[in-house]
Amino acid sequence: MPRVLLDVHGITYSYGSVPALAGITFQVQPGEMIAVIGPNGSGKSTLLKCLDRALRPQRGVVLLDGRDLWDYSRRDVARRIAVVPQETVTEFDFTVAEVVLMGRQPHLSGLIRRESPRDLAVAREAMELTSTLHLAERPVSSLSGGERQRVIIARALAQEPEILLLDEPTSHLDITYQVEILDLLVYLNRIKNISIITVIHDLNLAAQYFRRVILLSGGKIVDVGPPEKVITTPKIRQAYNTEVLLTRHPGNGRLFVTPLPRKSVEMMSGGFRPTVHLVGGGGSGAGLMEAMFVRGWKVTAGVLNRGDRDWEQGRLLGIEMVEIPPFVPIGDEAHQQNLTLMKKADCAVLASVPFGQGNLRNLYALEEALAGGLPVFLLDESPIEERDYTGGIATEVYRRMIGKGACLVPSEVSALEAIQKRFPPNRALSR
Amino acid sequence: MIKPQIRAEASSGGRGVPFVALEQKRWRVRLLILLLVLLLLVTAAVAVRVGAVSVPVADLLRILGVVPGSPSTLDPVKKAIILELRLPRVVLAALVGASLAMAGAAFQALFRNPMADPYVIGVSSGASLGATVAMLLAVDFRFLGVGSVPVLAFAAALGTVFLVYQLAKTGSVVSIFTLLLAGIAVGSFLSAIVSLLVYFSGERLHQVVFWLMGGFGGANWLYVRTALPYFVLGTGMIAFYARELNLLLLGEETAGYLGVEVERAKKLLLTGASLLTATAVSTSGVIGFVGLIVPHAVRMVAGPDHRFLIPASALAGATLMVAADALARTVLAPTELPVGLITALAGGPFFLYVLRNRRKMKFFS
Ligand SMILES: Nc1ncnc2c1ncn2[C@@H]1O[C@H](COP(=O)(O)OP(=O)(O)OP(=O)(O)O)[C@@H](O)[C@H]1O
Ligand SMILES: [Mg+2]
Repeated sequence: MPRVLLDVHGITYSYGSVPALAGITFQVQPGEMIAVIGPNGSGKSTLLKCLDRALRPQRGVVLLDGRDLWDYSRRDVARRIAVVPQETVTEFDFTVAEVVLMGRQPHLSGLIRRESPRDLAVAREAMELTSTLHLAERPVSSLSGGERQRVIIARALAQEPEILLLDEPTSHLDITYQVEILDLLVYLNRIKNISIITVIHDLNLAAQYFRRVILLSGGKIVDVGPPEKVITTPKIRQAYNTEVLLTRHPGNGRLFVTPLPRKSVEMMSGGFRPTVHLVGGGGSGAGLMEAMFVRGWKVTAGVLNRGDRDWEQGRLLGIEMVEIPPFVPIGDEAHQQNLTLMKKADCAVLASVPFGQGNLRNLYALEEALAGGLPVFLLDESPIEERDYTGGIATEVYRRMIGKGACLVPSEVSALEAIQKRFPPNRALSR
Repeated sequence: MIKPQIRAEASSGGRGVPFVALEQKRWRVRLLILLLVLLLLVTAAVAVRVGAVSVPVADLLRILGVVPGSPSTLDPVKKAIILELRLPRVVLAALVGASLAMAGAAFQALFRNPMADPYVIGVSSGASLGATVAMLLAVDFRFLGVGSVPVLAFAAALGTVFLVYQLAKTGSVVSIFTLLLAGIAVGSFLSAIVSLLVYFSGERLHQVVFWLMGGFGGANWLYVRTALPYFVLGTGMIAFYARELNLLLLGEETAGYLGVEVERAKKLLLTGASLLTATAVSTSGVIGFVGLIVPHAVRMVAGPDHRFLIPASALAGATLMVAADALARTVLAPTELPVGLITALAGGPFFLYVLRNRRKMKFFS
């Protein structure tokens, strides 16, 4: 059982009658890196302030090493937890060296409270780590935003904390500085084993840099866990009331979040949003799925094997899917569910997917739905014969469907256009 | 793991020993403080010497016991003038000047406001009311040997601070901003009452107005002895919390994150600064300008670190006040000018000079 450093237990905080946090519970282990995300006013800053004894929760406790934070003195807390606040006052003439040295305040003792050589050494190391040594003699008020942020982090490090709390350390910074600051946090976390909890607005950075994410909304935790679990379309929609497009980062495979502008979603989808059932697999339908989702159409999919790239995409987008375990052929139950989804849809699209014995029933399902009157679009990027591993059965069914009125489309773009034409935004089409 | 490359570092070489320059600066400031001590001593010596009765330097040193010699050979009247009139007056002026400068520095940091002075939260208005009431009603009592005017002024000053503090308090938290506003409101109200009283003060008008303008006319050792404990107490509180003053400049929230018990620090600093101000005002009336200007001027040359700013301001304030009082006594002798007039007349241009030449003075910071 790993040691619990910070145990946040059911804390509730209200500013007067304005509730800001309600029943927040989570735990922090030594050396963890946690991102706190959530829309403006969701209570992120309030949560951070409750963790550093700046605000006292009306209900619940925060335990530091099993002891109530409020049983420690301010000074004792400052020796273990350092904070980089959201706003910092800098209209004074202190130099960088002076400001970083102030981080030693909680460690100074005696009547005079003079800095010892060790205090100077610690402050120096903090400046080295944050690459602020060369700024030592500059007045803090003369620094750029990124430099200033690093100085404030240096001051926090001079406290020799076990836990570092940061409130939006990267806002106001250009992307290079944002990455610099986050790289720095990762580095500090690795070499000093400092637990880091930071509020961050950029979901991409949160997903890329943190293995654990807390999603707040309206003062409550929507979810805690790895970014793949927390940053999902439905949860983001619930917390932010916004549509996002989730994909995989091409370089490192981490989550990649693109917010969809409300306006364009509405414009592209118009008044009527068709429900499109997608039949694909192996990544053949992922692009189309994303494009239809961006247009604001309701997308369903099936039958997909779990772990498959199309399945992965569908999960990121949070769409309804019929799914079966990997490498398992489509069984009766999945087939029936697939038919049910098709019945609820306004049309179906078949991606240029290869067919084998395992997924042949997807084709039969489409044929059945077509016979029941469902418009079916066949994306024909490569000839069916080249994708047929069933000894000609798939080709035969495919041809039959064309004969019965399935619409052949040569590319994803033309598929989208064909569907759009079939379901114009300004009138709901009865089929 | 490789340390992340930081953009700015790559461009500037990232070399440097961070605290050497800081330490050098601190030594320069210590030197400045030493110079200020000397300056104060010289100014005080000159101030003791000048006046209607002038004393040769050699005699002065002998009277003060600096140079051994037989004081009995000296004129006993001169000796009495020096020891019983001028010396306590100079010492009192120094104490008052130092008090106002330290209180001003503390208030400016506490309120993070360059316009703050020792009188912002109404201490002077309270003291004025107390003193005016004592003079107009001719209240006559002695408390520990001190007359009714300073005693009432002191009591009213502290009472005003307490009132303002209570008004600004919500729960256990005192908002500095509310404190400032409450201080201004209460101060204006009390000042209006004082004006009203002055309007009806009749034949005592001159006495009241002269007190309000401030001066060290009646100074004697009793005043010094009575004021000294409060001076020491107030100075101690501010000096002990000089580090906290620095941290409070970063904002109360940040100060808290660095381990400062912010509310306690604020309360103690307010008490210390108010004590100094109340002591100054009740012994010598409302002398303006010193508490506002001296901390600024000193900050420009000595930097913002209160561990140096406080003692340097105290010395500079004391020197300025001693010099101003000497001028007040001698310029139009035998008529005595109010000291506050001199501090404003001389302090204003001096401050402008410092302001215009701050770059040349960077030597110290
Ligand atoms: N000092 C305060 N007095 C009253 N209400 C407050 C105060 N500070 C915050 N609130 C309210 O509490 C709620 C949570 O605020 P908080 O600052 O924690 O949000 P946040 O998630 O940090 O937002 P942001 O992303 O904008 O920084 C908000 O509704 C806010 O209006
Ligand atoms: Mg915030």
